[in-house]
Amino acid sequence: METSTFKLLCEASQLSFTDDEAAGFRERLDSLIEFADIKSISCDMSSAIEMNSVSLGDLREDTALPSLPPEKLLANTEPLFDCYVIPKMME
Amino acid sequence: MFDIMQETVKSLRTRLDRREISAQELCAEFLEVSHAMNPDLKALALITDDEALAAAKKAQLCIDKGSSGALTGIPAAVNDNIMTEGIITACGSKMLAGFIPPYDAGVIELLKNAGCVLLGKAAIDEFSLGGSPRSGVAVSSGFAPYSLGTDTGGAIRRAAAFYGLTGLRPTYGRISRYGLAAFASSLDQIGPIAKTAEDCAIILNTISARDERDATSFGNPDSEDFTSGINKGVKGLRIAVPKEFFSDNVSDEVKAAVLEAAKTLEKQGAELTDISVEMTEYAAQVFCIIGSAEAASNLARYDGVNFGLRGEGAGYAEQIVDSRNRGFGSEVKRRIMFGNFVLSGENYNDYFMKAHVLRSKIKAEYDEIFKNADIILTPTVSDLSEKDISTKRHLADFCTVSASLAGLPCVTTTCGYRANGLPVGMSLTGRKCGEAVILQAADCFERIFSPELFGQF
Repeated sequence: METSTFKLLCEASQLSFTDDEAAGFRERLDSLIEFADIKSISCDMSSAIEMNSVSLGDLREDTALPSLPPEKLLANTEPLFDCYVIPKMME
Repeated sequence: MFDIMQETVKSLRTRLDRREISAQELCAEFLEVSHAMNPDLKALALITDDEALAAAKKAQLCIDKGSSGALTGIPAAVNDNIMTEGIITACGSKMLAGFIPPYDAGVIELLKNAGCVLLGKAAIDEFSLGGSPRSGVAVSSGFAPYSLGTDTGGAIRRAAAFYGLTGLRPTYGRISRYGLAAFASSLDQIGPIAKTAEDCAIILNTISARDERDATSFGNPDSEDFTSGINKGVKGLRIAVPKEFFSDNVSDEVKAAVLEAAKTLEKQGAELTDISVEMTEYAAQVFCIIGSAEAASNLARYDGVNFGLRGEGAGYAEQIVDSRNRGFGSEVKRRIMFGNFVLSGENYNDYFMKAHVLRSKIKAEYDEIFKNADIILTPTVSDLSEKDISTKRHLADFCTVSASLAGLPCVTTTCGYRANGLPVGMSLTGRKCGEAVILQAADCFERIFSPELFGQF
């Protein structure tokens, strides 16, 4: 795999690797790509438009339902001086 | 006192209803085994003593009132990727270490309503990427009479096969996935691991229900009783045996045991037919592509803001990358990277779309087979020990992924033993919503193969 492709995948995956980590990781990633190579299999791609991997049941009405209590929703956050830490969202 | 290691869900129901043991005593017995053996076996990531004993007390009240259901007071373990309110659900990942869900998964709600006693969370590989082997350990070692595992490409079935148990992957949509930490959404299913097909049927009766919070769930619209085929034999059932599953990838020992099992079912009145399932040649690759693509998408939510471990960084983007670098393990990272590779613009058609076309062809081939057959019989595991799976992963998946891709129900049960004493599993795949039929055939075989499990009641 080209270095530029690897960098693009890291960006899309929101991951990063040191140069040492990247060498071994690229090798393992390449082996997976080699295993899953189905490019040479010929099949009629026109049917792709009609396929459905799963079927959906009747969707429920889009009505507002009671939310979980705030104390439950915030149970996994770290309390700090009687407030909750929310990370900076803007650069 | 009886030996709880030998007890099934059905036999425990009888003992509880006959007042041979109380729900609290039964819970305490299983907790004792769990605490004694878990330090060595590490089957459970968490043992929930207080919650279990409180649930057992409540269950006993139902039993005393005469209002018990099939699972009331019977202990169970559930995979650590199924949300349990107030109980840590870490999905085997550093990313979710210490995460306490504020709600129960759909199946947990059903189990609690049925009076089930949750003993603990079965340890899993990170996001169950490598399967549910510890769910199998928990049942086979007597921690619990059954467990709920999760099956994306065959985890429930392989765990059951490795530990000499019965494992059921239900039809996609039978069981709500609400509250199951998503890995590959079009493939993930929850199902039982137990000692018998009859137990799996009993459990399925309780946990199959439509859940409007999972748009793909249809539950059990006909209120079917999945135990209806139990102890009915296999006379007249048409069993297809595909030659591709008995190739060089499968050891002679496994082939011999599974084919002998097919003959046993034939002697009981089933009709055997040799068939070919050509598209299975590509199933492992197709599964790898679709599963990884869906995993890359599902695991994108772990950004250190809304869920899980929070990393550090000068800004928002750096913090996300640091969170994911530290939170995910190596194999999960590889699947995410590969998933994004097949979803990227230049590879999308050659990998992802082509995999979907091949998946639809696999489904179509199965539909065609089920016009003339009721069951497809195959090995469950080619011939790999759990230890070998890390290096020969895709060979191990070969026998199980086709049913996952086609969304079909599949049950595995023990049909023999290798020379080294390890069990051999055979899989019985049914048509969509054909759980009762495959459980009927598995039950028929088990009564001949393991008569000691059926003699007590």
